[in-house]
Amino acid sequence: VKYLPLIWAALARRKLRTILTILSVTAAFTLFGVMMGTDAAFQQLVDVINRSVVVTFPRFANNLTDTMGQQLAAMPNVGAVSPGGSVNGYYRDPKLQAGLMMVGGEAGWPNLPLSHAQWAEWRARPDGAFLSRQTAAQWGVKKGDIFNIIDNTTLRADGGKAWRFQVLDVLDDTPYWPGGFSFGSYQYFRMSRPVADQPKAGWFQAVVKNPAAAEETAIAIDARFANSPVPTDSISERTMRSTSGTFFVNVAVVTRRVAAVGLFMILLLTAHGMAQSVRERLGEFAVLKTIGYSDGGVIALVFAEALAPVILGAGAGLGLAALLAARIPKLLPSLFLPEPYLSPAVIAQALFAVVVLAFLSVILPALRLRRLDVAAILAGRT
Amino acid sequence: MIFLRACLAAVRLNLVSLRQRIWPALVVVVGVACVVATLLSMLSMTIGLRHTWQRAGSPDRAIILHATAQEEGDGTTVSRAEAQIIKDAPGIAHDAKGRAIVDPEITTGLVVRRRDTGGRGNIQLRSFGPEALALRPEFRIVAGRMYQAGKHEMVVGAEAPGQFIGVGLGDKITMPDGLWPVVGVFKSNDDLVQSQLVADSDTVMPVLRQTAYTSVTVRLEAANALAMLKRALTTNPALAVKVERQSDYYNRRSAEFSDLSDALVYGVGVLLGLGALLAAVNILYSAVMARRCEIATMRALGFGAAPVALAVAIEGLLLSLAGAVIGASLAYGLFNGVQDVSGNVAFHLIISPAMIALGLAWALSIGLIGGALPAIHAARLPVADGLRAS
Repeated sequence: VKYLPLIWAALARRKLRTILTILSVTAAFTLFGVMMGTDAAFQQLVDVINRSVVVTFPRFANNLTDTMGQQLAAMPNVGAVSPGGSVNGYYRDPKLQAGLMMVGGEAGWPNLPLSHAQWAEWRARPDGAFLSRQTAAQWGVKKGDIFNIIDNTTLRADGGKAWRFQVLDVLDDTPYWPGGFSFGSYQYFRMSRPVADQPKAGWFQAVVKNPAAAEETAIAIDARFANSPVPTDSISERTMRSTSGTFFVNVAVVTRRVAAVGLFMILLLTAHGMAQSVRERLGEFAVLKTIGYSDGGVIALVFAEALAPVILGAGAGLGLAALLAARIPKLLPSLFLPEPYLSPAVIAQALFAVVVLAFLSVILPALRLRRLDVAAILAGRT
Repeated sequence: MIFLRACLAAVRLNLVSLRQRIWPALVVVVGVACVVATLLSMLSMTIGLRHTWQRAGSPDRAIILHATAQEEGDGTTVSRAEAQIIKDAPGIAHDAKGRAIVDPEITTGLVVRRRDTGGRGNIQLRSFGPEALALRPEFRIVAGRMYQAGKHEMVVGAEAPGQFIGVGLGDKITMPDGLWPVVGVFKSNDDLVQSQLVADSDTVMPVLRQTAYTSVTVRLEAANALAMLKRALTTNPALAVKVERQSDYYNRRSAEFSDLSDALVYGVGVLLGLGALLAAVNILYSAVMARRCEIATMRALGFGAAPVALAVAIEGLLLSLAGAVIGASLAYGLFNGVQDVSGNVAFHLIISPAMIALGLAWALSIGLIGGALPAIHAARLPVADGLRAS
């Protein structure tokens, strides 16, 4: 505590320099927060995924059959199996793309945020649909509304293209589906199709008993159907999600690289600032040493002096990043970027970066202070 | 004239004393180099990817999709009957034998292994009809031979083997009815087709149990024949299709991702640039403070305020210019031409002269703005105080 006035005096002496340093650290940490936050948000998308789900698609463009579901369920390590389908088209306006996932039941879909009562409602109302707030807002529908999705790709038994649904409820969004969700009943999907199409499922969701062996189970499923009329392509849901983040570019690599460049620039700046500040005040440090401050004490003083603006700037930068974060998905809707998430891990990384920055920037000045020739400086012989 | 000479002398004095301020100067240079290198490396990605998409489109071709389709291969199809009607539409070019240059194609994903992660990947298989080569003059075989229609074989784009395992010349691709050998390698104007597999439509479709096409591409009789073709096809009650110039189609599709990734890139560029700008102000300002005595002496000798200020500003510009040159050469050396993958499209990172010019402009604005405040400060230093400051 006794050092505080000294640190303050040192920083206040060069007000402009201190303010500029704080501002540039702020810019760098805003970038750091947004970049690492985006990275963390992608990681979170993967982390929220239930490890126990394996998804089985047809390997080629032909449909899976219902009987395969029974064969899947009989395989080792496979528990509940549930078929899935999709209604994809538009609502009201061909430009307003809309679609629903048609789910086979709660057993295969542990990630859907529905209560038992809601599942019961879902079973009782085959044409019912559950929408997330985000999706309901996009489509402009509310609870109880009836809406039609026009789907040109899935044949209906009645020859029409309109799939009628009623909104059973609008649910809170979950991090599992950052872009919102909407789903209906597979039973409705199945019974609305022509008889010949009814046994065709879009995909299967299998819940495995031992999540650690999910990947092996996916391989076993594909091996099981390799020589059947419908070869499969299975993947654990977690793996599927963790690779879909690389759709545009490898986001993780880009974000981390940019964050690192920003920090490197700030390191150069603070290191230079500290070196200069120490050089200008050698006399002062000589006096401090003469009146009994230890080497360590003086170096701690310099370290604290380096740390203070970096901490202030980092705090302000992360604050700005948090403000920006809420706006980024709205500014860049079709990039599929999740909202940057300033997780505790990101904050910890920022703190770590702050300490490392301050530490690295005082190494050289500290060495110089240790070798300080007090007598020579006080005598003005430098 | 005297003013000019005074300026030159002031700049020279500044640059000579730069040797004693080499470390702070390097901080500005390296900072600006970081900004320029980052900006260019991110731009090289979005621009490289956009070029790969846009090269696939040609203004003298039109792509015909189902009326409600958003993109090729989104599940919507054009039936065989519709494709037959399209062949008789006006505005379409004909080959030497009098056949309309119309190519109905299907595209579908095949599961393969990615080379970078070893994990599951998805390569696009495109099917060609008999008129495909007349439609696509840019398509040429560079190794092996073209597939023979009717045979269960395919050719692979030159970019594909770099991103997927087991799709090279001589490899065999798993299809529903067994293994199809890859008999040739093709190039296609370095566009996105060059990342795909190509096989014969009439052979592929029954094997994949597909009965309809995902798109029909035609060669236009003349560049202005599009309106005629569009009118004929969209007013025909037997068709439910939409017609778009192929270059417009690929421009639109690539704009969907590139406009927004541009926003991201420039956002990062501005923030990083701001950091470097503040650093430059800081350092140039300290340099002015350190040279207070020198500047005051110059003023006392009769140098005006303007040459002194100008010299500081020019120093800022020169330092950031040096940084820009270093950053741009780094980015060029490390990234230009490197293959990258987005989804299932391989592309090459591009650092074009225009982008380098942008990097230079970015750096010079950092130098200009960064030098302005310290320059004004230098011009306003009281001479008497400065002379006493040693």
